[in-house]
Amino acid sequence: MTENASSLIKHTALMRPDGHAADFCLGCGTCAAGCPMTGIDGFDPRKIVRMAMLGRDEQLAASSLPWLCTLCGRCENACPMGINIVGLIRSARGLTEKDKTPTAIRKGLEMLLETGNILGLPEEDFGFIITDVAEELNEQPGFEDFTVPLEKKDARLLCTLHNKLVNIQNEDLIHWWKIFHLADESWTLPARNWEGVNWGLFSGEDQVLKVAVDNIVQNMERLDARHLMYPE
Amino acid sequence: MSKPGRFVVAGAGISGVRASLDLAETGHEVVLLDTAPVSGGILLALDRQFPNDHCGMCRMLPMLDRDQSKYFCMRLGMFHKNVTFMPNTEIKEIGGGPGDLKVLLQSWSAKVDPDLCNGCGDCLEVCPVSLPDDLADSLSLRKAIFKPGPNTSPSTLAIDPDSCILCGKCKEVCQTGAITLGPDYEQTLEEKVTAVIMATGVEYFDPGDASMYGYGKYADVITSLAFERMLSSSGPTQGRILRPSDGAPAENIAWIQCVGSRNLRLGADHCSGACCMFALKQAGLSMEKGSRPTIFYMDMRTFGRDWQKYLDRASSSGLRLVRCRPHSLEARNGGGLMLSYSPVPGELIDEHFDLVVLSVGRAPGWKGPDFSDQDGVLVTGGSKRLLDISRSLVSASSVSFRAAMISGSPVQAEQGDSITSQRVKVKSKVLVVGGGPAGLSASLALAGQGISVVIVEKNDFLGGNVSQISDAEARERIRELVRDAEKNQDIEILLKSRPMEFSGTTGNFQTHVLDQQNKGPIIEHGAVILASGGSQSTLPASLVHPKVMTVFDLHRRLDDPEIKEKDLNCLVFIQCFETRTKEKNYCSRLCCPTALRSVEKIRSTHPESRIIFFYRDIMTPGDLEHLYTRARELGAIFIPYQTDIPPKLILEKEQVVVEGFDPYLGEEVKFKADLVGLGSGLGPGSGHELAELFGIRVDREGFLIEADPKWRPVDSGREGIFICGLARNPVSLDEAVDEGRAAAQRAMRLVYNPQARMSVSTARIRPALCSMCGLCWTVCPYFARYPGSKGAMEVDPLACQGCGACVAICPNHASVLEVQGD
Repeated sequence: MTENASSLIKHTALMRPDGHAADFCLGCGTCAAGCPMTGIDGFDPRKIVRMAMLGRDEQLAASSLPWLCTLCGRCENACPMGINIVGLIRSARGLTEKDKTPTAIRKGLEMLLETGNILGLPEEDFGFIITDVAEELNEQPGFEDFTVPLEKKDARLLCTLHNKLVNIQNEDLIHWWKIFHLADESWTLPARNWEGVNWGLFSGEDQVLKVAVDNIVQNMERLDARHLMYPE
Repeated sequence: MSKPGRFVVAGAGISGVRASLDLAETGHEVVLLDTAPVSGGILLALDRQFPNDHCGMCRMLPMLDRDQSKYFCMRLGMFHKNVTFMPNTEIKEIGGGPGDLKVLLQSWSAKVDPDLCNGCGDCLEVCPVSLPDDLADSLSLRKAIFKPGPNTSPSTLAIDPDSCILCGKCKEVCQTGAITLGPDYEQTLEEKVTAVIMATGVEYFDPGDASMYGYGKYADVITSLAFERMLSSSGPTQGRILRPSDGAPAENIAWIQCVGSRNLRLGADHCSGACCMFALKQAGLSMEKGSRPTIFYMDMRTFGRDWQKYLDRASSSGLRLVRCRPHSLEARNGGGLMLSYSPVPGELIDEHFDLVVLSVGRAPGWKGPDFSDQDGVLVTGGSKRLLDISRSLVSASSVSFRAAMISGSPVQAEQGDSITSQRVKVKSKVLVVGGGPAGLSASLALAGQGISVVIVEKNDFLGGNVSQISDAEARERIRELVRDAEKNQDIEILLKSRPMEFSGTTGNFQTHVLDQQNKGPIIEHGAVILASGGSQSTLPASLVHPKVMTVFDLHRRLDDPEIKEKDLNCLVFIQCFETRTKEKNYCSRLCCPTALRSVEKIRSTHPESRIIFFYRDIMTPGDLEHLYTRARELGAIFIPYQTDIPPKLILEKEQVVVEGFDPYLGEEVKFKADLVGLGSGLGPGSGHELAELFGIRVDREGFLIEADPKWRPVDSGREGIFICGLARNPVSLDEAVDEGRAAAQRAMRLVYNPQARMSVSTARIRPALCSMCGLCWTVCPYFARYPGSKGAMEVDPLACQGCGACVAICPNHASVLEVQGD
């Protein structure tokens, strides 16, 4: 095989915060020894780094390797050469052709761009769920007068939500709200684009990453909130 | 001849002791100081050293005029008539200029009077303060009053002022009244000296900074220094290898290499230079005690002449080597640790170990004031770079010689003193065989001290391999040595000549030197320095091809305008080419740095070309590690190979193809190379012939062998004959120059005094009883016997150390030991 020296993956990985180029790799295997995926379907971080070093971008992007990774970062955290391994993998994912990205991620991304949240939950349904959970909390002693400050202006804290809290783990919302209520916190929840999970991070698509961030920035500006709470 | 110089040596580790002894042995006075209460430095914690698993520190002691020094284990301390040791002392200020320095020393109170303390240890029982023992690297506790070294003499205790709470219990219990606990006092003292030598040494990385290995969290994770104490019978476990967590025997032991070194994340872009050998030694010793060792490593840095053989011995006796760096470890129920590692891509292993030893990296350690920029202050190599024992000593000797040169010509032999011993006249001339960098630097050093030198060189030019040297700056340095030697009136140069006959005794040798017409003088000399050099290995005839060459030739060729302008799409280096094999079992040390330096050169003219290295272990100890890091940064690709599947070279008419296996990809790889560099190494020149002529030892490959690889690196073992440079071992230019100077220093002890003093105790032969059976000749460890002309064996009076081996073996009682004087 003819090896092509220049690698877009290697190059764009370097534009992410922290970390050295793949070139520094010593092949020591610290990454692989700490990786939860090593050995599964032939996965090994050394292989990914090596492919980037050799400029095998196409081969890497077309393989399942970048998508086997959990992006947990144990590899990068221990790498003695400080190589931006997660960054490399994200860059490789970003080069994957759209129809080859895993279906779940692809669908979530489409929803995110379309509706502002990964579930594709319309604004009306979101309002309904929030009101319903708030009513549930009103039944508890001491929280009879609790209301959700939806779209409140000039709050100290703007809160984003992990979509799970809106979907299947409603009770976790109650924990948060109890704290806010007892602490007499000035807070707000945006009625749309409340999504606190940025799947652009997982897909390696920086433009999607930016859309999701812009959504939150716009909420902050629109509601004049002073601080952002980003639990995810 | 001038009067003796006076010197301050700061730091009483092995480098400081070596420099002090060198100066003392040539008649100078030395003030040796250390911030610690005892001398010995880090060596106090190390029991045995590779490659022979002995200690042998005492081999540094003078063997000429030996009665000036006290002869016992140097772990007790160091005592020489010309050396004053000042513990608990540091340099505060240095003023003046070279030859006339004013040094302000500051000492702090010892609190325990060494003249009164008898080392009974009653105070240790009552002291209420306990803290981790530095010497055992926290493996055990010590009190605020403690024994600063395991075996120091006198066995004085010391008080650590930082942890002492001044409760006075030790003072109450002390039967000799040795303890004073008053307010701290400091004493300052001004010394007027010729020069100052800084030998402040190294310090070890604190593995607490590499948290994934659980140091400080899990008791069964210890440093290599703590393990060293565990191996020692004077250590906290009396030499038993135990799990600190529960005291159970540790059977399965893992070493993790490069903790705190070779780590850009920690800003440690260096290799400690000795940990691989250190771990091999520890693992080997642990096997003797019944443990099963495993070493996790990245490159096994067995660089140099002997270390590969040491590794082979360890491997063949069951040592397990695993090439990878573990990620992290976890404690396991029931003791011990679970280590995760991945030796082969795609394979993850969790393995239980009783004990994990972290091979902690070293770094230059001195945190006190830095005087190194001051004129007249010299710094030993071991304080600037990470060196093993022998290189530290060579550098210390080289530095001590430079210090002595500041004082001018050598000191006159002193007359009339308390020791009565016979004297032997010696010739104040030194024969140097070989006119390369080592020989030239030895010659210039000696001539600088007024000793006349004869250089015998086989070629019709000086400078040795100068034309083969790939680095232009290095070539110029050698040419400068040649020019200096040629114009020095104390140096006689005999070109196209070789030594043919050698005879005589230490201090009075005769060597017949012949030129190409078999004519030449008989030279009478006191000492001889063998610096006969070597050269790069030639490639086999099957590999003759315009695109294939040694890494040294390739590095030089990169300067050719023709190469600079040529299209170079791909260059391939194959390291350890036919070296570190059964036939040629050593590492030449220079192939890796040379090839790595080539990468920068290639990149300056060919930024896009592909650079591939096939390697076994990249050998870049110490700061040379920068070269390896830089080469990777510049995009060179490194592919490790195993000796059983080396990369294949396919030579065709127009091109060369290199095929190999990339273990990370798990695929065969193939490169069409425009140039191929082979790291085929260096070899000694005429080692075997010289060894035979001068009666010294030589190894299978033809390298001359020293008396002791650690402690007497440039002594041949036969007094008066010294070895240095490439004739002894593969060295860089700097090291060759240092070794030359160190050999000069050793020769200087012998020839500076025209009336050298014999030992008080030497052997003598009773000729009437001698049957010339030769048994004494074979057992004498100092080559101090030879068959005399009068039908009896004779004794070389300066070489004899009075050990008595000859007395014990002589069947006729012809050999006797005599003590002169009182």
